[in-house]
Amino acid sequence: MTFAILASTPNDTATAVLFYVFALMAGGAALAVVISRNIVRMAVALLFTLAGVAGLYFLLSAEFLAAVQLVVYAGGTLILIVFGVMLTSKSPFSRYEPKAGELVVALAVGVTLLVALVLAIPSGATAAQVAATSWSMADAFKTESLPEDLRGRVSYDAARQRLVFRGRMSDADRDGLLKRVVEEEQDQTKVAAANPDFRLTPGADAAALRASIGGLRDRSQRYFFPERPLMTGENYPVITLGQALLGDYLLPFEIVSVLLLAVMIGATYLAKGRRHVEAPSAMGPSMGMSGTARPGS
Amino acid sequence: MLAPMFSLAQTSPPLIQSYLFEHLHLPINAGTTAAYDLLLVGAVFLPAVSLIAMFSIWWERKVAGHIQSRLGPNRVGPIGLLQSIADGAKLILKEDLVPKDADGYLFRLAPYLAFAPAFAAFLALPFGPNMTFEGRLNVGVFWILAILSVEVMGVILAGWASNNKWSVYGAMREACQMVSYEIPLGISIIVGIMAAGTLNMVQLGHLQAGGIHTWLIYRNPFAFIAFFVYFVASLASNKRAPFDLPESESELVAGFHTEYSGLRFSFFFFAEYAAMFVVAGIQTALFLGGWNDPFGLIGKFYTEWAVNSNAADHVIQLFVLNLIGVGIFVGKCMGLVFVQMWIRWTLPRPRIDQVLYACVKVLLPMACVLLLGAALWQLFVPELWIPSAHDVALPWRDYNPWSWSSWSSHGASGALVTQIVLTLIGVAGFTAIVGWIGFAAASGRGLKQRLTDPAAIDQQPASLATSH
Repeated sequence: MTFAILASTPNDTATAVLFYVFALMAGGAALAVVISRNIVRMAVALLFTLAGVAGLYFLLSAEFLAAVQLVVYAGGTLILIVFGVMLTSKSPFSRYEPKAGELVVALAVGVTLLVALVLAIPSGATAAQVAATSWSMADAFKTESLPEDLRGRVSYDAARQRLVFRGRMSDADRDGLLKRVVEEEQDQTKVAAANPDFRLTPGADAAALRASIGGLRDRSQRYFFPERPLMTGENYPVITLGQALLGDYLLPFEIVSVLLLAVMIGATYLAKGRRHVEAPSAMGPSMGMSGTARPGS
Repeated sequence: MLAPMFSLAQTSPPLIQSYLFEHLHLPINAGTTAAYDLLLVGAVFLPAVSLIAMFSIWWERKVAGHIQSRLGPNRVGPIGLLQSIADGAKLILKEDLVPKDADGYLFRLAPYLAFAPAFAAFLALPFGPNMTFEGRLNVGVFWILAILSVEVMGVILAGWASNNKWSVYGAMREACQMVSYEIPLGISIIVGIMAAGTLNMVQLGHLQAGGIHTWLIYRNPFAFIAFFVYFVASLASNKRAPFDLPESESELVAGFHTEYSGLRFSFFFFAEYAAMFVVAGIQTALFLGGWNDPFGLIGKFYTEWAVNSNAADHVIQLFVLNLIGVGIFVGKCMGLVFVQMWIRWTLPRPRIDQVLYACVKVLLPMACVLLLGAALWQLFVPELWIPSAHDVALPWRDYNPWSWSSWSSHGASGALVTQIVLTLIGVAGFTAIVGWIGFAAASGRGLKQRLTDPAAIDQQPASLATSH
């Protein structure tokens, strides 16, 4: 996907701060989900986890994914969980107390997943690899690599991370340049795909690419901010995603929609299966604690 | 379709930000942009949203008053305009109660969960071509829907954490209603989106810039009906009457916010009015042309200043144009908000089963048929394509059906004729309603009528009029 390159760069201070905020939110709330015994509180903590992950998606410029995250998980799944708990539980603040066996199974699954994920993280590329495979904006716009008619009329300003045009330039010329940039970008993506150890250089090149693409598409060069990528056309992820989901991946997409059913069953199980009802006196009269825990709970 | 869309997106650079930075000679880096963003949020975003919410609250009370033959708030400030501020000050000073048996954390958290999403949704609303808080959000409509679906969590939590039967009933109803009405709401939005081909709300505005007949509501018959389906579903998802079951005063005391007092209560109140504006904003941006005037003048001038020439040479003109656009957008939204209020104070409240019946058995099938119809329309009804050197030319946007020369040089297509017929129907309907209201207001001005009795109070026997 081309928009991987357009993603925000980690060395961008604001992005870094936001990353830690969202990561902390997601991680902290995830811990709260595990630690809390109150199912509704767990659901609320889960809401913050999901919102944090959605924030991370936003930082990666995967806006569609972020919105889907919110609408499917926070707006659909969580509501169903809370709904299921409210419908089935007889206690207002039902507590979930897992059995020892469940604890063991959950721990085993969790640890396995953690190990798998940690192992799956690619080892960082060496500096030499990065240097060998990365494509530099400055190189691409060196005078000798430009078409003849454009020589001397465009150069790359590394400090400002944008292209500088000299003299008046027709839109057609700029479009030609734009095309060129996009092609180079695709080349780099191909290199990255062929090379599993390669990670896109997060520094100047990606930012420069963003800047120049946006800058080229912008009629007035001055009116552009490199911090905010503008994604259109081929980089427009919604169109790409839509075509993928309703084309190649239609069947998996439909199968995944069983998710909400699974959630409903799960919530009912959690709320109804084993719960511990506090003494009615502690709860006060308001909810009328007529229900009692099933024997064996 | 892709090529023109491509160009439309680039016509909305951060104009004001660029202008300010350039004239204050500020460097463009992470620090200054972050500072600008914070300033924008603190000095423009929050005050503007709060102002809209407070104005709507005052207006609702005024509308309610006039519909019920009262005056509404009229003491604080001119025609009671400052009433909301006075109420706000009062609510801040009230004691913040948390019931003893409530779940304290969740009880305190719930108002924020209801309030924050309603505000966050304003981020994507296209107030003007360059006056959108985040105009480059390329999933704008979807983002607003997503964030509004989180809002319901606050309501459910409020009801649940209060540990009060009425509150839980309110929360349950809200959950039912929200989950079911979200579907026709989403589908009717998709009908509009299919006609447009983009989710970006600024692009939606540009696509409807050619005058009233290019507004997406008139794009095809299915979009026309989807407009109304959306409106009904948005009432329900906003828990507005006649779908205000979650807080129906006659049965549930106050529903989910029964136990709330002071500032926390006012958060729910604010969230409701902010959400009303947001759903009206989606409707305006998606169906009613966003910031565009009915004659397409804004689109014409915007194209002239920002697309066909260098935007930097026309900053002041563009700024004024944007402000006019903001005025038009807010005006349209407020018109829809007024209809929401009008309906609230006119219609009785159905039962919860009737509400769900209306959704599942009426609105949902209707929305599905509309979706199918709109898809088939896109496939089979021929579009008019005007070959143009102009790179932002869209066949149905840049065609002027009100001029004979366009007809004679380009001809017409089924889609265009439908567009025009629908426009005429829509304009006629709108004029009829507004004319009727105007007539009623003008002729009934001196009439002091009882709510239950068609005879004016003045014409009653003296004994009746003075007995109380």
